[in-house]
Amino acid sequence: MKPVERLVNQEYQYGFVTNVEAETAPRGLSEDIIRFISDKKHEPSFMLEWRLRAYRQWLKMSEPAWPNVLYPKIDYKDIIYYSAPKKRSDGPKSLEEVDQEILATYEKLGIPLEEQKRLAGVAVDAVFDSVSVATTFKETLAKAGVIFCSFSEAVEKHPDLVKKYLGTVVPHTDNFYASLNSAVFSDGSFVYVPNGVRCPMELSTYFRINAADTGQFERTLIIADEGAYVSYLEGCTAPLRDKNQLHAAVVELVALEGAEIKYSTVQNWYPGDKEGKGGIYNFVTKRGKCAGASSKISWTQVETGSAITWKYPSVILQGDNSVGEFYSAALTNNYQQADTGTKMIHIGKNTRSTIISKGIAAGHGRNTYRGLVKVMPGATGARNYTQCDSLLMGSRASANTFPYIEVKNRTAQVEHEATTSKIGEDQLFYCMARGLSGEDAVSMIVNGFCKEVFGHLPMEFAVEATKLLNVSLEGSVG
Amino acid sequence: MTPESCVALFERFAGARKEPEGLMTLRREAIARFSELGFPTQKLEDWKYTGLKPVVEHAFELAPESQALPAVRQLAERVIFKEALKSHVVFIDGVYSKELSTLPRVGPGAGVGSLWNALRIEPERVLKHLGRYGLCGADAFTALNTAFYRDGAFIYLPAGTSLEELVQIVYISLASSPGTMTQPRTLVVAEDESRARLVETYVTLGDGPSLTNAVTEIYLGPGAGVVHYRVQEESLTGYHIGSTHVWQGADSTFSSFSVATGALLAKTSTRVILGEEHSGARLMGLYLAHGGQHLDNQTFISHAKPHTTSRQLYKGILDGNSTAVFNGKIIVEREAQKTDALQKNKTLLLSDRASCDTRPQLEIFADDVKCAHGAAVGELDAQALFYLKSRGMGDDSARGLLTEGFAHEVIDDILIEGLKARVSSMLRQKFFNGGRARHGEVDG
Amino acid sequence: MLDIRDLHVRVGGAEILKGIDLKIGAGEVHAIMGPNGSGKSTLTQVLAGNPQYEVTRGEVLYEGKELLKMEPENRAREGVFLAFQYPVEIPGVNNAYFLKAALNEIRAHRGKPPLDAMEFLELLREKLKLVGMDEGFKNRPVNQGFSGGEKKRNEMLQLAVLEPKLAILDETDSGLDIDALKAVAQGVNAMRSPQRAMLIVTHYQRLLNYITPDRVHVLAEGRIALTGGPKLAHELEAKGYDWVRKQALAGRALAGKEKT
Repeated sequence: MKPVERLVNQEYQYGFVTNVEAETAPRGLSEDIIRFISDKKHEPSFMLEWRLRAYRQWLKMSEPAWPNVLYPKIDYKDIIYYSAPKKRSDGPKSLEEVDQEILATYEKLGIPLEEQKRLAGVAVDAVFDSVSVATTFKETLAKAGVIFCSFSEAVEKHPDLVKKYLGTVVPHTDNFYASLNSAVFSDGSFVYVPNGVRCPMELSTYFRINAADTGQFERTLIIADEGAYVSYLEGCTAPLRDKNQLHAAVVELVALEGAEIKYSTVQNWYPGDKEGKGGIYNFVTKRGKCAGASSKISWTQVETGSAITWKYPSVILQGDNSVGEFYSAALTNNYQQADTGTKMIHIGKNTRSTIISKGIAAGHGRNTYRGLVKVMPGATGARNYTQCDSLLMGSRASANTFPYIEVKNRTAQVEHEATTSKIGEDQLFYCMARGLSGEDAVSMIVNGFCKEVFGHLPMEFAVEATKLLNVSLEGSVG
Repeated sequence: MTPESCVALFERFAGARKEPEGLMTLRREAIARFSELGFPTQKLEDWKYTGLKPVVEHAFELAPESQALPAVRQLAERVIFKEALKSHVVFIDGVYSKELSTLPRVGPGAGVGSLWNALRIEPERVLKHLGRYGLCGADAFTALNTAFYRDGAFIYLPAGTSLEELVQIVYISLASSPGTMTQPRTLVVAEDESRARLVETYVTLGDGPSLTNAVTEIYLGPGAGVVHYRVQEESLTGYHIGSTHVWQGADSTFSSFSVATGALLAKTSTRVILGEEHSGARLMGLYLAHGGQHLDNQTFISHAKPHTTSRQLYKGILDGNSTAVFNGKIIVEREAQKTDALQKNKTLLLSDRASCDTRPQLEIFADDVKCAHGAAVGELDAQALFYLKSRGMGDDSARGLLTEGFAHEVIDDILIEGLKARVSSMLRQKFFNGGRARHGEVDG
Repeated sequence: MLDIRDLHVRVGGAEILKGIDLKIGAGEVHAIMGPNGSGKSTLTQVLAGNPQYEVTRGEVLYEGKELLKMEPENRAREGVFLAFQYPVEIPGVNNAYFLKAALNEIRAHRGKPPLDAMEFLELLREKLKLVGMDEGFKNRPVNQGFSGGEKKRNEMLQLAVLEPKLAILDETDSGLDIDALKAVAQGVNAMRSPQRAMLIVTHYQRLLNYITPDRVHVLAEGRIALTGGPKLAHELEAKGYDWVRKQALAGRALAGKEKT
């Protein structure tokens, strides 16, 4: 047997269920359900109106058919659109008020919420099913003028900021899943970094789906005002369940003049079992707008989970001299499918973008890179460099590369390169002749393949990503 | 034109023809297929960047049969390469012109000539191959051609034969009365270990709106080798759709070279199926657009069997407010281990208003393969331009030199001197000898 | 230490080794010479356990154990080291990281505790000096972008760090200029010890100017055609491989006569 085929199977490590009493909306979707959600969150009327507009739009839309993924039709009437752990008061004022079961859950996931246990320098917003259950280091951040809180809290305490920026990057009419999200989103994170402030610590959100049959629809909005800097990380896991669950999130980033936002994701939703049963449908719209000159938005993603991933973290390069980056490592094993990539829309002058995508397909995995580089007529001096590499493991996997390059300005320089390869038998033998086991050799080669992407993750996450990739690869072929 | 009007047109066309039964059956199937598919819309990924509105809006009629007028003769003489003086087949509005053609002398069993003649004399041999290869059934325009073609070139090479002479096939569209369409059909059957070099040339005489919908099928048996050049230089008032379907047997090699400079809107596609082991294809392309031209270039290579190889290089130069598309796809089937595929597209934008869309695509289902693609878009290198000027060269000649340099990687690959010279002159005409301002006829 | 008995090997359907017998004791240095295509590299690959080679007959005892039944990584952990003729490039994998992982696997196998980053770095520095390599090597990806000579030196570095019991050097001199050749030879000589056996495979005698072997074997057409002392290498260089073929042929003819 080949060393790649000899790897032992290991189960998804985060598949446990937490027993908490939850308050859930009835199944299905209607204007009443949206009113119910809005009411639960004591939202001002502008929010309810916005949600209803999105819902009415959504009713007229149909699911996109172009992604290179296959799945049975989703019954949107059979989903629970709101589920929140019951709490004693109206939202946890402090950690003491958070359900012990939930605290234990995060502890078990390796994300202790007590500040003294946390690594200094990382603030966490923990989202459990549909709502934010805790946000750490709020005071430290407040001193620097940084607002980091749940979306609900932002609607309540900073309605002007929400009103000003919500939907400005991903409008409520954007696409099927984004409209659905706009109608029903229950919570998420909100960040505002004021003029000239460098956020003193890494911000992060940890998403956990717990309840069965629920969809998770969170919405994140990050605004970096002029000259501000923020680095934001998100992680996600879900229990093992036979039925597929829908996760349709929206992330909007706004970078004003001279601002920089670094957004990193380690996505490890439940991928389904070895036969492809269960798992999360991860249909996500993420987009950033470099609204001001010389601003920068950088996306880094490590995608190892989910049964199906459909996401294209994008950058609208509106400000002159703005910079967009996308670094992605996506792994599909067993029956996982991923159709992921980015869009770089060059509008301003001398805008630059870089795309590095590493796709690994193992088992029956289906891995597609889909990316658009668009240079508008006014984007004089625009530059793009794209590199997408695929690594195939086993003869039942498939890898696809679908770039779209649209250039409407002659001074643009756009370059795209792609390769596909497999782990060479000679590479494996060489490593083994030096005493490494086949498993270690494979993981070493795969990590080497993804190195350019991991290098862009914050230190703590890079270690996590490496481990995750190894676990996800186990039993990849055979 | 609507699918319905095409069906009506077909009924009139079919009613007037006396044809072998098998052929009429094929035609009926094809028109049914076409009316099912309809004209492609931009919702189809293959047509994403090419809208057919101007074509569909026009009610094209079938061209009447014509005589070889002196002007047509002159045009034919001008475009026939000296390498093919003794071996060319000429068609006027899709009908064979005996007068203008000079058929090469070929060995026993071989044939170069009119497809329609061959169909009348020995329908079985032709129908055994016609419409059987590639993805004929999936393509609406190919179906339309099958329904309507009158004639075209038929080249048959029995096992082991080599055609010494370059064979040139010239399709002249008169485009005299406004709104005619012609649908020439070429069939090349290269049996085991046979060899041939071919050029297809598409030109128009007049400058009325016209539609050419050409289909070429090429079959390569085991060990066969075919070099296929395709030159599209129709008038800038016409529309051109050209589809080449190729199927390759074991150890065969196919080499294609596509030059597109004419037509207001053109889409040229080359689809190759590497159907048996150790077959290899090499696809080169050059497209030159100016004015309001839109040139779409599509390639599709299916690696169906192990140890197959493909190489592609397409280069485009765009001026004025022209637009161009490169849409290339490589599919490596699950079985096709040890595939080696390489695809490159480079586009040079000479003007502020020119734009291009490029989509190099890889779809890979086998794990032991070497595949790579690359695309680049940009303008002339400012450093190089400066360097040339600092050596005393004027702006226009410096640009000209660099532009030619850009095209050379492709032009150097042409092994027919006549064609090489022609492409170089087209390049200069189009972009430099005042051609940048002139949107009229390309040729001088 | 190493005992090869009647080894027959096929590669891609063709029989390359047609009955090799060879014994190497601890502390000995043996050289195997032979023309291109004689099966020298095949022998080294088989000893290291490359799965692409099929052993059809014979056995190999290494310290009394059946080497051919061991997986490649276990051979390495038991102390067999092959310096590859064509070292493989592994993109993105840091040289030092790779070597540390390998060393700690081998140490674990021998029941020794792993070296931590600092200890390893110290060791690596010392060994880099030994083979005359730049510190910069440690942070480059394994063999990627290395020149031919750099790759060979990198193999010597690995040899020095992993300290095997049996070192097999496959055409380590090919592609090296004279200074690099001396440096490599110096490294090899420094590694000679009564506990360690070495098998040096080479086409030319030049490496043996710097490393004096105990025995020289000449491989031709899949068999050991001649065996002798260090002088054999010089004789071979002077007379060429045709001479060996004739000798071998004569020997076989002689053997044939004896039988009748």
